[in-house]
Amino acid sequence: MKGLILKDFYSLKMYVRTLIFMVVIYAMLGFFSESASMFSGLVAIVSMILPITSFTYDKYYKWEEYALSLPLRRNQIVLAKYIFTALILLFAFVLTVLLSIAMMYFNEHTLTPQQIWEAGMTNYYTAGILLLLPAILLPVMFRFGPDKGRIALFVVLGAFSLLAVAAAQLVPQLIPGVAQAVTDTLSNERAVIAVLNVLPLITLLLFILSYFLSCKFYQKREL
Amino acid sequence: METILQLENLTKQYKNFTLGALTLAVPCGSIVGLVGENGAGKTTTIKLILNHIRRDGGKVEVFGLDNLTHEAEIKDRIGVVLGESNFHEHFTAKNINSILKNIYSKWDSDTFFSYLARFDVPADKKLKDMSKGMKVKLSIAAALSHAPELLILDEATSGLDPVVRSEILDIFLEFIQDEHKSILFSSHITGDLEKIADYIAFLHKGKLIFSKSKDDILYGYGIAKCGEAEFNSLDKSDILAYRKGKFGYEALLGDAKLAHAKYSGLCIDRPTIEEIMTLYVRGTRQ
Repeated sequence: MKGLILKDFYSLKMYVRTLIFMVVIYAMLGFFSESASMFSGLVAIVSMILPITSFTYDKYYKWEEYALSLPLRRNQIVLAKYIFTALILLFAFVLTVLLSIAMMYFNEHTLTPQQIWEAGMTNYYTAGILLLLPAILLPVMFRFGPDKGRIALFVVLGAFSLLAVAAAQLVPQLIPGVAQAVTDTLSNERAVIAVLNVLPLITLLLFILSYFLSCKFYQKREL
Repeated sequence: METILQLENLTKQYKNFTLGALTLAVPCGSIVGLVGENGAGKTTTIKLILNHIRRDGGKVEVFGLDNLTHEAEIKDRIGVVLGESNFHEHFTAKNINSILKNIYSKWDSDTFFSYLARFDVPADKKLKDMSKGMKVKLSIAAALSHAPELLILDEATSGLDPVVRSEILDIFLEFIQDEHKSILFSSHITGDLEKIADYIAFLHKGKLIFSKSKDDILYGYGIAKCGEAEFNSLDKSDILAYRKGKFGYEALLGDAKLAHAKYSGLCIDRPTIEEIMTLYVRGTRQ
């Protein structure tokens, strides 16, 4: 299985070089605009593109039929993709944290443990959301393959966004008390922080559950 | 163990195509050539053996083990070549070595690189810079480097020039010198199978028409070429398939020796596998 993870890293080597170039540009932009958010956004997108691309390469180079001829169980093939994705995200997370710290030091010329902790925690919260995307994306890929998978992904994300927008607009109108309740909750800082602390753990759990779902899909897949 | 691969009543149903029920054996120490026109079911059969698709009925046993319950164990002992190349075009042989040594339990890097040296395939060259023949030789080297006992080849020589094909066929003959090893070779290049196969299994529209020793086919069958009158005088039970061509009839006779004795003056030639296939596919079967 280590071989499979290695294979994904090898196959994306060329692609990653282009991405690193983009990442550096955005990092510099972030630096000078004193905002790491553009950079984090890019890192989030890139960390999604890489797993998708690995599926596309597998199909294009007919790797999949070869992989299914190797002494590997289908669950191991699925696990390798999840570990690969997790490693990419971990790398992205570390990179963003380092950049935030670098920016802080560059702008304020001090670096306290408190600041480092804040940088870590902010990125920890966003990481929680980042982990949700592959948790949805990977089972879709295993179920439908990369071509249909990409379309399915846009549909899912589009539906999510529509729902979020619709909920934000309609729910306060439909249920009058909700808007006030939400504002009250948000002003309770401790509650908010408690939720934010737990959210990444929940998405991590979803990520793990998504592995089992992908295994189920892939067991049934016929080439 | 006498049979390395055994298919028994293997079936697979698609909307417009049914494979089976297929019963076929690959004996130890032999090369079984799987022939058939495009769409006959050769690749489907291989996919069923490798469990790329689920079978609807029947049994597949490799090394005496069921291919579903002992899947990983079996695949560790099988080498596959499924076409020109299955790797990313930026990979080099060295990358492939790093990947496969962590997957096959008996992978031997020294064996792999010595095959590459012998086949003249550079270890540092990217696949995209390799010729087709080189890519196939690399795939074969990978298939041979983990002490496999069974090689499964699906169109491994298609699209290659005669020189490279000859080289590759020699490699397969060398592999089979060990009488505990076998090869299942699916190809529509019948000339290659005539050169190296011990048995020929002919698939047509999902059905196994015959599975016989190559010598029995090439020396036992005969093709009679004659005019209409002579054709009509032939005993229909002697004919397996026939075709009316521009210049007369071509009939595939199941027993050439008998036919020589029975029909004096009848022009009977030794058939090629290609001629047999063509008669079955394009002609009329008895």
